[in-house]
Amino acid sequence: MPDTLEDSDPSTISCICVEGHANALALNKDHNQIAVAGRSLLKVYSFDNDGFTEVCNMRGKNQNLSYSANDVAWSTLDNNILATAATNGVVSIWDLSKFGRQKQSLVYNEHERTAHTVTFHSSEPNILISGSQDGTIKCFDIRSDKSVNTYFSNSESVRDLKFSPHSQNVFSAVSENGTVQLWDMRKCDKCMVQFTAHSGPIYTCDWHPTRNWLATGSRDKQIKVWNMDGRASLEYTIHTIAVVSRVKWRPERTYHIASCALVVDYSVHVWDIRRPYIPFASFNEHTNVTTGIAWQGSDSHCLLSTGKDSIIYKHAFKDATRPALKANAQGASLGRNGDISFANKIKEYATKSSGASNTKTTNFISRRKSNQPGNMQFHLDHSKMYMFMLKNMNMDSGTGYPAHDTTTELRVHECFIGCAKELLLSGKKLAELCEHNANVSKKYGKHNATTLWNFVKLFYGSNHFEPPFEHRSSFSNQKNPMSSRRATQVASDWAPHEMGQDLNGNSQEVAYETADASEDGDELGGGGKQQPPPTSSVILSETQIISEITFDNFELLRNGFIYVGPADVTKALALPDTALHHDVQAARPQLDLKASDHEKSPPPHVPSILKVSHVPPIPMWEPHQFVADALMLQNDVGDVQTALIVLIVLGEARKLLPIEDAVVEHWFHTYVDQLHRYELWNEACEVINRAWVRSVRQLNQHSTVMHTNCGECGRPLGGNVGWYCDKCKSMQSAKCSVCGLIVRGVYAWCQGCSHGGHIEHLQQYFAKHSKCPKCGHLCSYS
Amino acid sequence: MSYEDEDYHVDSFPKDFGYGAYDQDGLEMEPNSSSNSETKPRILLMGLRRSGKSSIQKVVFHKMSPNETLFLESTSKIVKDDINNSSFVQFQIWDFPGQIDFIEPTFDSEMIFGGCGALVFVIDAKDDYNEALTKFKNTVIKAYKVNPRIKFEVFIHKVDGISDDSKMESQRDIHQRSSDDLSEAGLDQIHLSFHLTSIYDHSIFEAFSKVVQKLIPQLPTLENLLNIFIPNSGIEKAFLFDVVSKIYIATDSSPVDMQAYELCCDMIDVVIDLSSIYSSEETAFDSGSSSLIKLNNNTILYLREVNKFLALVCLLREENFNRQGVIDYNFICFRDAISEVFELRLKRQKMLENVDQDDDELVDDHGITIGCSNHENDSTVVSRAPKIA
Repeated sequence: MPDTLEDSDPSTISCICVEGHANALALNKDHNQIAVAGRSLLKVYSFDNDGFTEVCNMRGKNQNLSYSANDVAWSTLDNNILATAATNGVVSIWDLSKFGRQKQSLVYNEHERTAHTVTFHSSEPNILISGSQDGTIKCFDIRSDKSVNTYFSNSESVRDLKFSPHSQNVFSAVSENGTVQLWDMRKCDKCMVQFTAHSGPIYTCDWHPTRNWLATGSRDKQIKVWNMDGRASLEYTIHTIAVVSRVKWRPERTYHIASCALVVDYSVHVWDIRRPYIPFASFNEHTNVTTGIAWQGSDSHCLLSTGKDSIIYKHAFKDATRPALKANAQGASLGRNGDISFANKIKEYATKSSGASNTKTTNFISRRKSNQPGNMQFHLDHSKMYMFMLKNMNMDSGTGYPAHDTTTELRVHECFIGCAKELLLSGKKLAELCEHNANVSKKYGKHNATTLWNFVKLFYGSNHFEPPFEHRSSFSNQKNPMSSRRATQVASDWAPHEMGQDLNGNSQEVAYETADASEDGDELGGGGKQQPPPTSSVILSETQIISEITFDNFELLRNGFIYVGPADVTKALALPDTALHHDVQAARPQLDLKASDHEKSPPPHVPSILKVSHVPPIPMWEPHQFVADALMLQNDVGDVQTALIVLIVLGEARKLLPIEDAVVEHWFHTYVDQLHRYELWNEACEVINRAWVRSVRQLNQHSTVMHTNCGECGRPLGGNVGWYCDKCKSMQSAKCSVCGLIVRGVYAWCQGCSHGGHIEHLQQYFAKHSKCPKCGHLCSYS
Repeated sequence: MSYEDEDYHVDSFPKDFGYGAYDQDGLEMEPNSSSNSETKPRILLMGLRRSGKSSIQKVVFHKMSPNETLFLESTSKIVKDDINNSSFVQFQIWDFPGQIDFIEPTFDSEMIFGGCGALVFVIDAKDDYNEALTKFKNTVIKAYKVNPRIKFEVFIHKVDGISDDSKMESQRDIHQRSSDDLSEAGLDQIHLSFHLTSIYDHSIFEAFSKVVQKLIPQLPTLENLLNIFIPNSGIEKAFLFDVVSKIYIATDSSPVDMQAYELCCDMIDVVIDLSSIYSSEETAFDSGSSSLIKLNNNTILYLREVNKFLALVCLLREENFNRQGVIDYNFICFRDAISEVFELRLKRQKMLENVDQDDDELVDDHGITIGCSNHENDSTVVSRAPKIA
């Protein structure tokens, strides 16, 4: 039943009612007359395909408050009987067959506060019920001038009432406290069913014409459909953009419901409850809030509505806008790890060929697809979602991308904390310190730092500051300085370049191994970590035939210097093969914006063959410069910890290193700051104590004042005499509150209640208790 | 344990905190003014410890910013807070410490629940609420035995931290279980009201408004006056605010939109803050106070002073404001009508005092009789009904 194939109904017509805002409308049983009620308005129009004609205006010159109607209802059996609920609580019965003031045939002034809703019984012509702000529901018989029954809903305010079309004595009441009640008309002492339906006030409800469903609309901007068989259960939820003021099931369509909003949104929306996020159709004619909606009897193509703009519209369904057609039905998103997900709407008729699309997708590494069977109905609009993941082809090689596993970040922190705690600053000989620290670094996987420590040990471990070479190689003693120097030069040449690529700067994985070209090479070979190149692939879209693209994890082995590249995929794009490099760029331009910046320098000469045309003058061996460069490098890669501790450990020897004081001071501040962030106060303090820079040493002299209170009187201890309180002339607060003895040594105390004592006593005490031993204050011992 | 605060005397409040034309002169003349404190409707704040009772009280009635409530110390004894000296709404708030045990014999339940108008039970939605529900059940049963007229309000508190769905779920669950508990105890006639609240938005103010409104016997009259005032002035929505606490003590019967309420609250803040900068006197809010804010969606916020503690804040569309004169005239009618309502109440109070001075039971019937009489009096109010705009 496609809704587009409607017969040629008349299009939307409107009628302007000039007098004030309309609050509600009602249709008579023949669906040819409409009653509109409002603040100063009560009119009846008859309407047909041509337009509206005014039949009756019940608003005379009389300015009675009972006219200001909140709701209007038309008798379900008698075309002449109308009922209105007024803001002052009056429920009036109007008889259209009478004249003048006689039209208001009955006035029930029984509600104490505003009457919000009134409705007639579906089969008994004389019975109507009304709900009020005072929380009561009253049942009237128009043959009597008093209410027949009163139902106390036990809530602040009853907002809407509807008789169930399925069992004739049952009606539903919704109220401002978010509850739905079902009442049996014959039992006025207690409701049959009560449940909380919304987290805000409920303003409207409507029974489904055929199923035992109740729709409720609330201030929480939701329309909920409840299955009322047995215990009420939630069937559907529709999320609208504004507070729902009225809902109305569409006749002949099981799943369609019309709604209008209280504020913000002036349109009338028709929803398919199975597709809760976008309306099936919308009528956007109103220029102010819509207050009343009704379907023209069982005609599902004609909707009448009125609003605060004082206009009645008769909407033809074919004129409705279909918001779903305008919606953008595609979406794509990039995941944190470079995954791409892509969802699109599937064109009608295209779904049968799912086999064909599968053949295309064989290249996909990973894909999820949700594809519902083809169907042209609105609520079954189907879409596909693809998820493309970066896959590591060399997973079995065991290296992968370090950045991909989430533990890396964590490991960096652990490593920092561990090193901060275990690295020794003093207390032993330099060589032992170096050895210890090298082991610590190794333990935490900082191989570069290990190498550096070993290096420092070799250079400075003995008393003379000459490198103690072991003559294991065939190189002569004279040649060593030169090759070492070359290595140093290369190192310093390379440092800024490589580090420029390492944009995040703190990746601990960046290992810059300073392996000596000659003797130390084989010794350090174990320290340098070589990563086999993992490959990865990305696939962009289904239509494109995707070739697998290989990303080499960045790896260089030049001149004995091993650079383990930053693990991030986007930064690891600098491939040795420039042709492939450009291919990658073309294939995924959105991914590697930085790739173009990565210019590769030609690999330096391999020093195995040293061609020297004429022997240069042998330069001086400058180990200090070399160590200084190494330290600077450590700092540059984000490891100020190692750099600074090496400096501290070196003791007096550090004076030989050509590092500026300002830089050292900066290192100190950085490291102390880092330690503070990890709450490593003791380590920070030790570092500060070892500092030789004045501004750093002064750090420990800041904010050293501790304000203490007397435990007895609670006043601050101002005096110079320890725990003696000037106010109460006692030394009570010097005593431990657990054992009662005067505390010597560490005194722990609560800043909340000023009581404390021996730290070990308190430790034992607070293991069992939570309150202060003296005053019952809820101290927190940590 | 003594729950009486020794320092507490109603007549010790300075005169200038009074209530203008509707000052409680008659009450202050009363010989037994100490018993007067017992007659004021009382709102009890109860709940487990750390559930946020004191925070609610501080935020709503003492303008504490919600973030500062983190540093509130836990309440160790009953804190009685008298609201009547500073605002229109006359009641006391008793903030109970969470760990208080109602079952113990020293607990004077007659005294506590006797003159109590509403019991607000605060449940921390983020916490496991089994214990709270047990305590709630015991409290309700005990209180209901002493005073069946008590209104029970449950604040499901701290809902800012949980999702919409779980809000809904916990409300349903708490509602279901507490009413099951009560019907097991044979008390299913007790009516419980539930509110989802948070001090970080305006929901706490709205919930407290609802609680306070139930204690105002004149509420139907005020609401009716607003219902008359609004359509005749072309106003969409109007709130009658207690300026100090930003509680609305009445609004017209159209649905309350949360955004509208928040706007009005914020407007009061703006007005008070601005006028306290420029006003020469101590009071930032006096009979001349009025304010007009035009929003960019063709809406106007209009604030007028009703009396020292009340302000009327209206939301209306810009085109309806062309006839400001009519609105102002209607407002004056409205203000006069309100003052009549309270004059009547004062007269009634005086009369009752003279007639039955030693009738103790009268105390509780007070409000109810006054409420009814006012309602009957609607016709006189209506006769002064405002011009039609």
